[in-house]
Amino acid sequence: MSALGHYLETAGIPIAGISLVRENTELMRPPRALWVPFELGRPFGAPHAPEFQMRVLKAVLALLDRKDGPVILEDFPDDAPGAAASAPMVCPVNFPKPPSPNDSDLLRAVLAENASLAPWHALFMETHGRSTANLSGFDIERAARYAAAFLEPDANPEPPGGQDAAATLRRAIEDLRNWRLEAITAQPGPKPSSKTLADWFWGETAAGALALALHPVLAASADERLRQVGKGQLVPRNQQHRLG
Amino acid sequence: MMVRLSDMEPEDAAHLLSKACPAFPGEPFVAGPPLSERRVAIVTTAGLHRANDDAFDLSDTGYRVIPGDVSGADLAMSHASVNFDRSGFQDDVNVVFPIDRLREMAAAGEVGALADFHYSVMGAGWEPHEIEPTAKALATLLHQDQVDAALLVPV
Repeated sequence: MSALGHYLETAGIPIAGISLVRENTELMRPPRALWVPFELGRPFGAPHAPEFQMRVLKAVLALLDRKDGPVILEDFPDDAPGAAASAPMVCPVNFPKPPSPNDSDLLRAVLAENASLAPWHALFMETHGRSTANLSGFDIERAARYAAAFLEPDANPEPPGGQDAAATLRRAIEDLRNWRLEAITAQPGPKPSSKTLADWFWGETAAGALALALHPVLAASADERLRQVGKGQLVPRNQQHRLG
Repeated sequence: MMVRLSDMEPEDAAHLLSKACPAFPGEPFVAGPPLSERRVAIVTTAGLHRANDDAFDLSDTGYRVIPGDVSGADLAMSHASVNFDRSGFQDDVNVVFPIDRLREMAAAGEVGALADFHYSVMGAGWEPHEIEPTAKALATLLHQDQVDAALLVPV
């Protein structure tokens, strides 16, 4: 981000940017930056907090009116609303019967989880009008089947439309995760924190277990792209303690 | 959850501090009119794009165009990193791409205007110097759109 800002300013475009990692911004010295004490993935603090988002936005854009450059790094003073809250999760998932006796146990569990959470995801769609589980081009069942196929010996699942198999696998796992997070947050009760949600996905869901099971398979793959996905684009660093 | 390094999981903090951070010279510092007269574009490294556009690949240094009249519901995020929260963006695009807040500022006359186009890159898998050609291309497009303020938003 700081590099992009430096190059844009050098080309004559004045920039003002959010900094999420103050230590790195201090080193790279972009022209105008506002450090915010928010978690990665939330540069404007919190969802559905328009007044707070506006405060952050005005604070960063105000740097454009400053004359005391060439390097301005300010700190936003307040934590994001709800940052300290961490509501526990209660997920009354009641798996239906396995849909097909031919599927692997793990795939059957993922498909059953899909079915159990589908009403909640439908509710998310009603309230939000969109889904972020839209990266692989698969519906949620095909995303599960495509990812699980990599667990089979000598698997070489065909991605649709000539897409790259490794990129499609990464996106299928992201779709499985995003779809579940959308579904679970549609349930009643206080909003869980992002950490609670991540711990739930990676620690308690069948889709999380599928992704964890893929890690050693991809690490041993003869395909460099698949190894790359397994190494860096599958399991977050702070969840890798779950790997065997 | 905070993102002060001292509050992060040690492996995440160590990774962030291990990133290449060249010390740029701290110049130029381009002057411009008051904010209330500026034309503002968002440039984000969040790997956003319209849902029907190509997703970002690993180590992708290309850019995607986000029309100024985009609906937040039409935005997808295909960032290659799995090490940041997505649930905020799922709930409200403005937590990453503050388009509604910017429109409110423009309507109130607090910024001069919004650009016809905003831009997104995917901020992972490349070294800082590798984004320079993309930045130059974006600067040309921003100049053509008469933009004189770019709001840079990481994720």
